[in-house]
Amino acid sequence: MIHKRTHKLSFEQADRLLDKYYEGATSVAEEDALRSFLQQKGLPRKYDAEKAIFEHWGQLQAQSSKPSRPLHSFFRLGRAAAAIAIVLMGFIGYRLFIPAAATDVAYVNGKKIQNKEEIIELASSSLDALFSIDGIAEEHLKEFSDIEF
Amino acid sequence: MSQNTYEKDILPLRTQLLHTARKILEDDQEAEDAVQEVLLKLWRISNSLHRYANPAAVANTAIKNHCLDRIRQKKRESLVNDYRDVDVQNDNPHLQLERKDSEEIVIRIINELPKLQQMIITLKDVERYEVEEIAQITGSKPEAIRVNLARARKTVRERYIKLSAL
Repeated sequence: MIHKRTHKLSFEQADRLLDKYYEGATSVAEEDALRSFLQQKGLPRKYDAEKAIFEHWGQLQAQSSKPSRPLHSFFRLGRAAAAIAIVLMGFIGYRLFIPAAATDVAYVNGKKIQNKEEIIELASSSLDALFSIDGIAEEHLKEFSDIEF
Repeated sequence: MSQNTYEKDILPLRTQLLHTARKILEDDQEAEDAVQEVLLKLWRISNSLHRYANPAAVANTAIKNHCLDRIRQKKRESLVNDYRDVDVQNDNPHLQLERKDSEEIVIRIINELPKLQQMIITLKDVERYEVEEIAQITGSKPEAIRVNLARARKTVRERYIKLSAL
């Protein structure tokens, strides 16, 4: 097995490795050595097929590894943004729903009322008014059914 | 289902799948190839297999369908091969020039490889798996993977030389 070669293969070594390649017996490291050999300019034409094949694999490798990196950093950024958003939401929620001193307060026609009895009385009188509107609506519906098309 | 569960739930079915494939295809080598291909496909979707209540049933159905497809494809291929040589000869000059483009040629050849060879060559030459790792995924012997890989690589070379000379 070849580990991180620092020098290019000789023609003889390359031919031997190519034989091994076509037997399906090369390791990834050996294929890397072959790739860098085939990237040389001015190679004899007998390597044309291997050159084209390895170039194709190289392009596919680049395509399959490229998206992973930006995607990875995108998710990292996303995670950071989500963490900030959660902290902010928590803070806003705390300020909105848990005021310093909880008291019963109602605003009726712009007037602030703190007396519970008064609030209940105002609410039930509003409901009575609503029921009386029902009567009006029923009358209108009757009129509507009388219309002939 | 994670890849660990693939090993636990799907890989042990290998013998059973091979038996089914042998019964349908009536050919040991073809049955072995069919099992390798189905297992590779299941391994590819191992993260979504949990959606199925019974992954074993999925594997069994997959191998049956795959074997039947293989039989159908064989019939189709014998018909296509009769016309292939005629097709190459009758191409117009423009198409023949296009074929000169080495990238196009390689892509075309790879697309024409049998599916299992395509999968193995992609795992090896693009995704950079070692033969032993692919063998582990399919539960087969490294030698069986090596045979298909060698076949695929030799075919790509031979066809490339033939087509680029046109």
